[in-house]
Amino acid sequence: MLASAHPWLKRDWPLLVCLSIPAILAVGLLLYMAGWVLVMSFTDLSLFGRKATEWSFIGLENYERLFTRRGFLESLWVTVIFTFFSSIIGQNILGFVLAGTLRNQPGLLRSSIESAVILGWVLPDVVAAFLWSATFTPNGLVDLAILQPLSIETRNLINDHPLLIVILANIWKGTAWSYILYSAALDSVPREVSEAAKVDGATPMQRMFFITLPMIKSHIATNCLFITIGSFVYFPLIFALTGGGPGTKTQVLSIFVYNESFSVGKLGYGSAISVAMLIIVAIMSIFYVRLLREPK
Amino acid sequence: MQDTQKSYTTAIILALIALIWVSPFSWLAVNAVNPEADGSLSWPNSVGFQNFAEAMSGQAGGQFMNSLFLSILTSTLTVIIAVFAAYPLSRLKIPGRNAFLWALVLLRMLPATGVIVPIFFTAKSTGMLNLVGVAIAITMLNLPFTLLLLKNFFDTVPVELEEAAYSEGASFFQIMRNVMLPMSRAGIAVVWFFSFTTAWNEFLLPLIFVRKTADFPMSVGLFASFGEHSSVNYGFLASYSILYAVPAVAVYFLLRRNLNTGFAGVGVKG
Amino acid sequence: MSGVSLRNVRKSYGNHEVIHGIDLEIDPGDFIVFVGPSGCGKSTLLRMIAGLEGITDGTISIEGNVVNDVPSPQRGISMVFQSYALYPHMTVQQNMAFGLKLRRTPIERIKETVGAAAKSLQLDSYIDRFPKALSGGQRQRVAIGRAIVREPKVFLFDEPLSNLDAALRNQTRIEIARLHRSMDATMIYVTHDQIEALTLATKIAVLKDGVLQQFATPDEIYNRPANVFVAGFMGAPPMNLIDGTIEETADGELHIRLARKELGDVLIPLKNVPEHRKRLGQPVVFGLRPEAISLAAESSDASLSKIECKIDYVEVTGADRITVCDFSEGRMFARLPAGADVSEGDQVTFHFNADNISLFDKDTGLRIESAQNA
Repeated sequence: MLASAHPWLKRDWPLLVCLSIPAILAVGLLLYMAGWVLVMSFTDLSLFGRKATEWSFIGLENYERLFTRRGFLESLWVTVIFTFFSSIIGQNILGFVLAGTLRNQPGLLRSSIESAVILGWVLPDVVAAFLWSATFTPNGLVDLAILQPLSIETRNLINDHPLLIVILANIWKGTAWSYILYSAALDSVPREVSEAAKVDGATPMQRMFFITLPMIKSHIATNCLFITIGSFVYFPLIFALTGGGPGTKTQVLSIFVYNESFSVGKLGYGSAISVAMLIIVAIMSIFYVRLLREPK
Repeated sequence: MQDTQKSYTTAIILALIALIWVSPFSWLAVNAVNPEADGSLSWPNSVGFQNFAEAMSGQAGGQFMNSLFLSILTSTLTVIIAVFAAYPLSRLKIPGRNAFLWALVLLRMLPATGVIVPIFFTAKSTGMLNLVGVAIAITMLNLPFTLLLLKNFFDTVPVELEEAAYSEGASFFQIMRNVMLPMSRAGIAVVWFFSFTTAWNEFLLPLIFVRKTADFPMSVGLFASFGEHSSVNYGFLASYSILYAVPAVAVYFLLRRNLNTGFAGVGVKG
Repeated sequence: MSGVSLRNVRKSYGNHEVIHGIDLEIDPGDFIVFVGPSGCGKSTLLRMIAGLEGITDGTISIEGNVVNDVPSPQRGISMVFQSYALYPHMTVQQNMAFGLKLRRTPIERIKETVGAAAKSLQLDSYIDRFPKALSGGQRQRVAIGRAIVREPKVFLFDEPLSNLDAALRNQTRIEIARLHRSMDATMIYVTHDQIEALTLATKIAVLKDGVLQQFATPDEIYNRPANVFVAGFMGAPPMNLIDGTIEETADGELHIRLARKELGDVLIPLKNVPEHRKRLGQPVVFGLRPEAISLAAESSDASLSKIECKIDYVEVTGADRITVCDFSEGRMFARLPAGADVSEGDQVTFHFNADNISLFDKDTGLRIESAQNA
């Protein structure tokens, strides 16, 4: 390792090691915490009460509960719906369409739309939650602008369609990321290649499907990886907007973990859910990395 | 002819999307400037900035400073730690370093709500249940991702530049300061921005770590005041929200140019 | 009927005109090279013919049909791009077949055409490779193959050799010349390399700042440049251009007095023709190719003109020895045989045949046509 290193690295390696120590410590600490979660998931540790001190190992019981008790599977389903519609369908497609159409627009229009989309993205989650709940309350924007003119009875939209609103909020908040990434991806397609396709007689649609999309395939996979995982473990906006409710209608897994750990106080069970989530995320990552791999 | 018509239609549709996108802000705007705000979406009878004055003074103003302290501490810590560790990761052929980094990033995907339990206990036992503890925790949680990101940026700096600097007698710090850092400015901007905004937005950690209202950062402060449903001061909430959002938005638009190249790099390198 | 015809073609971006009304008649089967310094508009002109840039004014026709509003694919052209522009996610075979597929050519026919093209370009063993597994020269050939299979009326090349190394560039240049001979198609080729222009073209169009300077055969361009710009641009080292004045001697003969004090008082005899006589006393630019100059010792023919100067630099290029004399403004090159016994600092006498010179008007830069050229 050092033998093949550049001479200045050899000269300074004690310094390099010293300067890396904080990072090594932090990473070690993170690994330790993760190990802790794993260990907890095999115990009946509780946040309060007798089990907070006199806990014991209970084997795989917590993991069995994931499938036998109500809660986990329902929450997983909500998370899957939330993730699929808000990231893969919503952010991904909208981000791509915006990136594709805005490229050819004049500067002012382009930058104002870009700014609007990015404004949602950089907005703190709690403020976003605040805005979205205000938008959908009776006499809120949606009510005044759409429901009342159409004489649809004013209702509490957040109570009636909580999952839909949470999905919309996440699309609103996260599309900017896909947009920025796809803008960069489209810029990476050399102009001469799409011109060559034009000379070859490809229509704009054909250029999109035969040239552009295959050429940015790896960007698409990377983006999908980022946004699915991001949405899968997303917590603050949903928590601040609905708290997982009403009932468990928007109780995605991250909120389920929070509730089980801190409201119910079952730290062992909560940890098992976390580990299960991690496994699901790992499987998704492997799936996307496979997609990324180029054909031989 | 057809083309111009088509592009007009596209422009109008795009403008409409932008309008829909910013429309939720209307509520925030009218309530923030209305001294008698009642939380409804209506034109204010009078316009004034009393709400902002209220949101900047007393405990609320202190919470702004708390957020600023937390974010600057976190981003500084993250950038310094990540820069020095990413450099050897990029330049030394440590076997399996990529697999290792990806494993770490995956570990970071542990839901924050899950890993927060051990973090909480550790902080409690070391007396770190305060904003410094939150900053350290965020730094630790973000480190894998920032390390990977910076390493990828360092990888793109041609080693010839370092060779040139070395042959001219530059020390390690001079190589860092004059070659690596300027050449990967976009990457550092992304890392700084990423850690600043995570800290600025972070909600869960301070919610659990900090107990006293005076120590709240703005995220928890805002949540706490709009969680109390009894008699809500909407004008205060709206102006407080705006004050809370402004730095996050400003940081983005100030760094925009660097960030766009940086994010492009993230996309290309995965 | 002409292959490609440009009539008063103009191109503006906003208020900024970059092509200022170009007229060109290109015969079918010709190999035309657009050459000029960067920014002269040669690539823009090519892209306008290709249909990748709009035409602000004027008309472009291909085989007699005005194509101003014909979309690129229907113009009957193929283009080879500077970066080759191969589709990175398609194999060699798919790259070449893409255009044919889009126009719904039967699969059997595609296979046949692509196979034949691949064979003639010696690509048949790489047919299933992706572009990134090919060398630069191979990519170049795929790009040419992609252009061939569409059987175009006009081939367009946009600096196709600029990304190749020197050896490969020479080889590919010969292949392109051979391709032209075997295809009988019209070819238009853009380059900034004047060697490529001189070796490949049947006719060269020299452009500068969006204006056509000269459109002629390589011989004509080289020996009878239309103006000072063409004279200085074509040829390496370039034509020597020295200011002077036309004067009359006591016995009624004409000569040019060179205005270079480093050369001493040099008089170059001129033919006594009306074109020269009417410019008596006027400043002119005297042009002399470096290879028209020889060392005085080699021949002492009294009919040759003489120039004396000090050699400041000798460049050895193998076959030749190029000597450079620096003046306060500009310099003079002489191309001498490799055996020439010259070294830096020598004071030498050069000879040249005054029958083989170019003359330009000092003010307009235009060539003064007279019998005194080769």
